[in-house]
Parts: sequence; structure tokens; C-alpha cells
Amino acid sequence: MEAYSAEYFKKLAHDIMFDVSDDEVVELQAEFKELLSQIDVLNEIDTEGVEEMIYPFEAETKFLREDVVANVISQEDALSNAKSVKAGHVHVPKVVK
Amino acid sequence: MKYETVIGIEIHCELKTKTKMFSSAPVAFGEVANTCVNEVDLGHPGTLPCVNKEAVKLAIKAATALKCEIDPLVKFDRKNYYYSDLPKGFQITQQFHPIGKGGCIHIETKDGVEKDIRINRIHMEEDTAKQFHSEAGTLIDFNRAGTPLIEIVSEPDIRNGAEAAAYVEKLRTLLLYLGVSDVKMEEGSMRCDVNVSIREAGSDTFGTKTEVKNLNSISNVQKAIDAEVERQIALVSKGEKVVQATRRYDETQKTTILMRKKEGDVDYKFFPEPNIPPIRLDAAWIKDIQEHMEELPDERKARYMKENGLKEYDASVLVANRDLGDFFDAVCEHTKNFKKAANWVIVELPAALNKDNIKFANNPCEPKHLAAMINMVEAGEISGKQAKVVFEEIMKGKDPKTVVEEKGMKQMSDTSELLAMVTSVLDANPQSIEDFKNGKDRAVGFLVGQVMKASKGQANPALTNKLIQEELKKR
Repeated sequence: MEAYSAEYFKKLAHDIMFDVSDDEVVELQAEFKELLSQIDVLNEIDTEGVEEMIYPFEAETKFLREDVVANVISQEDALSNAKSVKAGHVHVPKVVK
Repeated sequence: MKYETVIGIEIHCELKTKTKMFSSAPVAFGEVANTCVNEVDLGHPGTLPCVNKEAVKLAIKAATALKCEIDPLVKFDRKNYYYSDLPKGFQITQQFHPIGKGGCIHIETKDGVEKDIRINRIHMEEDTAKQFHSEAGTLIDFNRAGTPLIEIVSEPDIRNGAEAAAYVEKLRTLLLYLGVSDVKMEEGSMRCDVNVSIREAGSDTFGTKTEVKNLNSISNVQKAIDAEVERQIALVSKGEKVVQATRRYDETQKTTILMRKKEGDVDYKFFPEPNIPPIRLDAAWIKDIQEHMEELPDERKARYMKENGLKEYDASVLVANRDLGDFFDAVCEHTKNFKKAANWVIVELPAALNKDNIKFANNPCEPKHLAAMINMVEAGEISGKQAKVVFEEIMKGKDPKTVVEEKGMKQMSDTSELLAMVTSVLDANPQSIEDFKNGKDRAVGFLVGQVMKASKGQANPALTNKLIQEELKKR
């Protein structure tokens, strides 16, 4: 599949579970084109020998949590957001990996 | 063509902690579904992971025992995939900076082949939720979600099923002794994935590998590999190709079955976990953990042979079964007769437990009672034969001293009392005295038997023998 084609955006939308109309795809393509050209500008920066920055604060930490049970929620609370519950379990359609 | 098998093994072990890897909810097995969780385990928005100190400690112990180099800067990464067993949509793992690297472990197969298997890495991560699939849908229990795991990855140094079984068994005992994990394969606290490929013997390139998953016992590890190697050789011999895939072992068909094909590597889009900044471990803390590790299986075996004078076989049996080994150690605190103690613990104790179908955890026999009984035999207070009867009683939790008194078993070791008995037996058997004088030593055995009979088995055999010899010479 060609990158940033209409088909590409439709598949991407489907993968993350929402629908896009044909008009929206055209809009997305235009926005992506713009975005990519901006990234091209960033790509021109010479990063040779510069270490990547992962965290905004580069200081190392030391803290580790003691192994003590503290916060447990009830089964009722644990399941309260589930769309479907069966026998104390979250119930979802069968999708075998 | 002659083929060579190349095997690498990935093992996941649940760590024996009280709480999850990144949350303070309890770790439990067999609890009511979705009662051992909190917002972090369920991946609720706004929650943050917080690394469990004990899990790091256990990972350091495992890495040390496997002679890995330990990275004192702990970092985590995200492995992204979308599936219902993973509430956050990613697993927190250590893709780029495993806590341990480059170790090795010495194995010995049942046929006595010894070799070192190199360890590529050992890293920390979190377990997924448990799913129950049925036609009506999938039920999810999040109790297991977030349970601390270590994954141990071997180099492809393993060449056959027997070596693989020895490797898994060695790791299992090691982690058990260290208290790192319960390592119960049947309950899934230790899980084993095996990568198998074949190549022309002597070649240094790798063939296409398959991954065999869900092996729930050590014997199945070996059987699955043997079956998979046989399948791959049959394919290649016919000029067909091995297809890269995940397979599972089917015990009834004794073969591996295709689960899913793998087309290239799945892209998990790994990236550093932004919610856990790098954690610098205190060097003194690591050193303290390493200096206070439990006795390792190999060390225990050496101790049994050197300090307790046991034969290699007996030492191995006691090490392979830690419960028996611990029991043996407890018995040895109360007796110096180590060899006898080993014999009772290795042979008689498991037999007695099996007979009554008692699990070792419910063993009613107290180590000090068994030791006391062994000492009584040693001191000649009871005979070896009587010991068997006493043993049956101490297997009911009784003190051997009480048993001996209740059954009136105490060996007769009072010289004057025995002498009277010997004299009367000799008086009653003039023919035996005659035989002894004519050089028939067997007569002594007969006379000892008569005394034993007269004493209802309570006479001390050694003392009786001595007295009879003395008395015969006087006549």
C-alpha cells in the first residue's frame, strides 16, 4: 500500500477504531503533507554526536517502592467501567490472538 | 544429510513478591476474579507506575546466580500491542537495557553430558491479564495483570531435547532455592517458550525457526522439542521448507500444531517508558543482596558430600527435592548419623507419605523424632527391625521414646537380665554347645535366635551374641 494514500488513511482509521469519510481523508492527506514538510526541516538539523533526550529532566532517580500491599479496589469498582460483565469477569467478544 | 538442532529458550517467571511490579495491589493466585487489582493494573488514565523494590531485588538475585553483568541503571520501555489481556495497550518491559546481560549456567543431562549454556539477558517486565475463551466470548480476570516477571533468554547453545530439559530443570531449582519464584509450571508461574531450528551439521548459519509455546512441564519441553525436530527433518528431507510460525505441543497426538504463522517480526514500536525515569541502584545495596544470597543447589550438593559424607546420588536426590533436603538438614541438627538419616529421608519417608497419599507439606513426622529414632538404633536401644515399627508411629507424629515405652520395645541391654536368659538357653541346648566345640560357628546364630525368641525380640542382638560367645567358652 502506498504511504499516505487514501487507502492508507482508511486502514489506519479502521485499526484505531473510527471511521473517516472520503472528504476527511482528503483533508488528512493535505495536513499530513504539511506536517511531513515540517519534519523534513527538522531532519536537516545535524544531530551527529548528540545523545537523544528521552526525559525532560535528566537527573537520575533513586526511589523504589517498598513491597507492601496498599491500594486495592473492590471488584465492583474494578468492573464498573466495563461494558459487559459476566461472573465477576470483564466480558469481551472472542478475539483469539 | 546429517542435521544439527539449534535451540534457544525463553523463560518467564513470576516473581515471589507481595505486590505488583508497578502497583501496590496484591499478587495472588486462585483468588476471586478482579479482586487483586487497582487503577494502575487496569490502566486507568492518569495513573503512574511505581517500581517494586523487592522485584528488583529478586531480579538481581537471579541475574547474580546466572553470572550476568548487572546494569545498575534501571530503565524500562514500552512494548505496544493491542489485545484484551493488556489494559494499557502496552506492556512495560526492559527491551533496551535489561537488568542482567551475558551470563551462563552449567547443566548436566540425565545421560551425564555436561556443558555451559550462555544466557543472553534477563529482564524485568509485567504479566498480562488471564483470559478464558469460550464460544460466548472472552472473560478477563485482571488479577494477574501487572504481576512482576523476569524473562530469561538463553543463547542458541542447546542442541537437543535432553539438554533443554536439563536447562529448564536447572533454572527451576536455582530460582526455587533463591526464593525468586514459585516456579510452578503447571500453575503458569514459570512458562517456557522454545525456539527450534535445524541446519546441516557443522554449518554456522541458522535455519528457519519455529517457536513452541505453552509447555507446562519439563518432560513436555523435551517431548515437544523431539517431536518438532522430527517434523522439521521430515520436511527438509522431502525438500520442503520450514515455515516460521508459533506452534504448540499436543500431548495426545505427540506432535506440534500450528497456532499462527509469523510473517516477519511483529513491530511492537518499542520506546523508552516516559513515566519511569532511569533509577540508579545503590551499589552497596546490590552488593548486600549478592552477599546474602541463599545457598545454591550446587553449593548444597557439595556440602552434603563434603560435610555429611553422602554419596553423589543421595546428595543429588536431596538437592533435586528441596523439601526432602530441608527435612534432612533439620534431622541432621539432632543426629550425627548422616548416612542413616539420608537413607530414612530419601527412601522410607517418601514411601510412607505416598502410601497414605500425604503431601509433603502435611508431613506429620518431626525431624527431631526421626533423629531420636536413628540415635536409638545407633545406641542399641532398639533393633533395626523395631525401628521400622517405631517409624510407622512417628509418621503419625509420635515421639519415638513414647512409642518404645508404650510398645514395651526397649531392647534388653541389662547384662545380668540377659545373662540369666543366655544361661537358661544354653542349659536347654546341650547339642548346640557340643556343635560349637566341634567348630560349628552356626550354633551361635541358633542360640542367639533362641534368646531373641525367649525375650520376645527385645534382647540386644550384639550384646546377646557377646554373652553367648563368652558363656560357651566357659563350658
